[in-house]
Amino acid sequence: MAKMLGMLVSTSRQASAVARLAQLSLPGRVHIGTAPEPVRRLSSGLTAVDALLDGGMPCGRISEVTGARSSGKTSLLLAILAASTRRGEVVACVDVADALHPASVARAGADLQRILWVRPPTLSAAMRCTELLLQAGGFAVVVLDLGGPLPGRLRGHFWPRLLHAAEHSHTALIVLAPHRVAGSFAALSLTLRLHRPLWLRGLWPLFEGFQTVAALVRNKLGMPGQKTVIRVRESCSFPEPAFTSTNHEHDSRSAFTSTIHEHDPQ
Amino acid sequence: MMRLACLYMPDFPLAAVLRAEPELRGMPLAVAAGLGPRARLLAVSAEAARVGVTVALTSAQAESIAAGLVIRPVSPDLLRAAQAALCDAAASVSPRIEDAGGGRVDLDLEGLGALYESEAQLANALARRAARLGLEAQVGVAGSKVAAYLAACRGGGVTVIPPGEEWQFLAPVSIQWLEPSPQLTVTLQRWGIRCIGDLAALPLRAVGTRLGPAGIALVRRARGEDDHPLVPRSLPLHFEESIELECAIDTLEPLLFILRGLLDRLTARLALRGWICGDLRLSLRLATRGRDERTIAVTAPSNELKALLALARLHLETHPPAAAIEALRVLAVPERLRAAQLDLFRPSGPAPARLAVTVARLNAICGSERVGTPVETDSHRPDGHGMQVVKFLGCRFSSPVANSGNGGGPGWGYNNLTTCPPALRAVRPPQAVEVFCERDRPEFVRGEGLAGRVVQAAGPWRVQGNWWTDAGYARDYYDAQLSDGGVYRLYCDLTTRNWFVDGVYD
Repeated sequence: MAKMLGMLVSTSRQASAVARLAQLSLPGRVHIGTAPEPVRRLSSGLTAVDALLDGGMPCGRISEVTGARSSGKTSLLLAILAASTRRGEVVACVDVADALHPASVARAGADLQRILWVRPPTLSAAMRCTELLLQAGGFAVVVLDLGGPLPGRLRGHFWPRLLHAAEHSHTALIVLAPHRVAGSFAALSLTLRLHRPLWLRGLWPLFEGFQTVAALVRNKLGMPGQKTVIRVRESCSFPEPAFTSTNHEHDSRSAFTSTIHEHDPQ
Repeated sequence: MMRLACLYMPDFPLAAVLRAEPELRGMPLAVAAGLGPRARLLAVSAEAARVGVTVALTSAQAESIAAGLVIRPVSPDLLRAAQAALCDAAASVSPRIEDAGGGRVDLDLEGLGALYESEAQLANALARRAARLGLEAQVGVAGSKVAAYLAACRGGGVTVIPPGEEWQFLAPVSIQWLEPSPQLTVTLQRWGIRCIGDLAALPLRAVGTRLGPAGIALVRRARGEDDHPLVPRSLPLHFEESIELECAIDTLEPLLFILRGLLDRLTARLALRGWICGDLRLSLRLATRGRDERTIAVTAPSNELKALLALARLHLETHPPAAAIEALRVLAVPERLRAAQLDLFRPSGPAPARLAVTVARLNAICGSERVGTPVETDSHRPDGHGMQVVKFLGCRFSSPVANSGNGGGPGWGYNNLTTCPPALRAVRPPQAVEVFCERDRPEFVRGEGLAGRVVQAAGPWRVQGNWWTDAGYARDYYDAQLSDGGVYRLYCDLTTRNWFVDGVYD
């Protein structure tokens, strides 16, 4: 009885608080309830991407990285894995297409010993493996690489299970695919599009990398629609002290890492 | 002054059976030399002795005396495992032990005074450790092996003979405990010698003249002098348990029930010696007279019974035996237990036991060759890659990637990058494509799922290797951007002149 009385008093207090706030006629809406828990983010290691994603990939959620061939999605993914393993975290990669290239992973700066590489034979096996890895806990990132041609039809009933397992284990589940596959279960969706390949021209041209545009097409945790340019180049450049960088270098870097609404390549 | 201990297991065959089947404790139990009604009993439990069953009866005779008697045959494997367990218990206390066999182990107690307050405490610790392995052993401590053995046999439980008091303890003991030969026993009885004190008082030379070397050795033992000093031998790291089944098993659940007992005993032995269980080797004797040998990889070595059993279950479910199983042998590969100090600033990663079970489940779904950690092969071959068995314990406690040397936290200097290197998505196996060349330069590429004019190309880079073997290769590699927007890595096999795509830059 006393408990019920307490609840009634609490509800009446909330209602009066809402009425008093409404009387102030301030802009915005008044919501009663507890504030949502802040989502922990995993830094991708790339300044431009972290700025776009409010700090990195969200833990305990499904994030999609999509893009066509040579859009730079795998490079971005390896950068995320490298940053995670350098922090001492253990990551897992469910590689449906059997496309992971260990030399590229090592070149991205990842610690190979901290990566669990699973190559499932079928798509349903891949989903089951992903669920098992999420349920095991302890992995900072689990990647579901659907980047190549899919070996079967993707069933939708796996996504709520994967989301539940990711939330429970606080693991960031990143889905790599040519197009969006997780639908509304994805907390954010980052679509990459090749802007232009970078070639070192001359008598003997060399492929250096590419410049790609990353667009945040879906974001349940913030504002969608933002874009940025990522430069994927062979030589990995570290942040240099100010006295060693020339104006030209500074300009070029800032141009490539600034947001699209400032320097839209289109 | 030398101090020795003896760890002794009375009715050793009975103890070996009770260790394997602890649920038989408190029941009338007899251990026979073999199967069948004519097999002689080797040992009987106190409950069986109470109803009139004695050693040297046949199984049929014993069953006719006591209807509820449980008779178990003793196997050499069972005795061997029990003796090894006894040695493990002794080795966990002293590094200098001698395996005397037959349920007896001698220990040198020199230097152990710093670890135990008294010899009684040490002896109690020894008995407790044997009890942890399912062996209710007796312990004797004295100045010689003979005195310690007699103290262990006669005392029951733990008996410590203080230094210099061996004579008082041994003198009233019957000479039968020295196990003389039947002829010597008859002669000594005729002389009226009944106890060890009488025998030890005889002049050695006179005994030698009348009874020969055997008599001299017996008198020396009666005086508490050992035939030979304690010869310590290092104990092999061999952890094996086995069981012979009365009837063949062809279903998984009973097999796992038996396996659970074997693993329980194995992990107890490993834990006592300070080791943890690495891979498990299972040897199954099948009803078809064949053998099924298998190795169960333990990703994260541990002594956790539940995790090991789950791994064994997954393995047996994935690869069921071809026929019913008559006997089972399990061998554990010991691995050193590494103490780890976790880092305040680094995540702990997956729990080893849980990871092991997860990897085993992944192996069951994908196959063991498709789950592991990626490795770079030591080769110039561009498509070379490898995968190794997951061993997360090693990496879990290793240092993170070396930082730039400027201090700071792990990985300092590698965050906040502005670019990342381009990654290659491998195409496995390489996809055959049709390439149209002009002046030896690729101009147009056509294949399954890709087609386009070459917009920009770099190369060729000639790669040759292993020409001294059958697996030799000679290729010209190109990086080509096609009009479909993709940047591909192509190569021309110089031996067949065929073109392949083995990767896409993405």
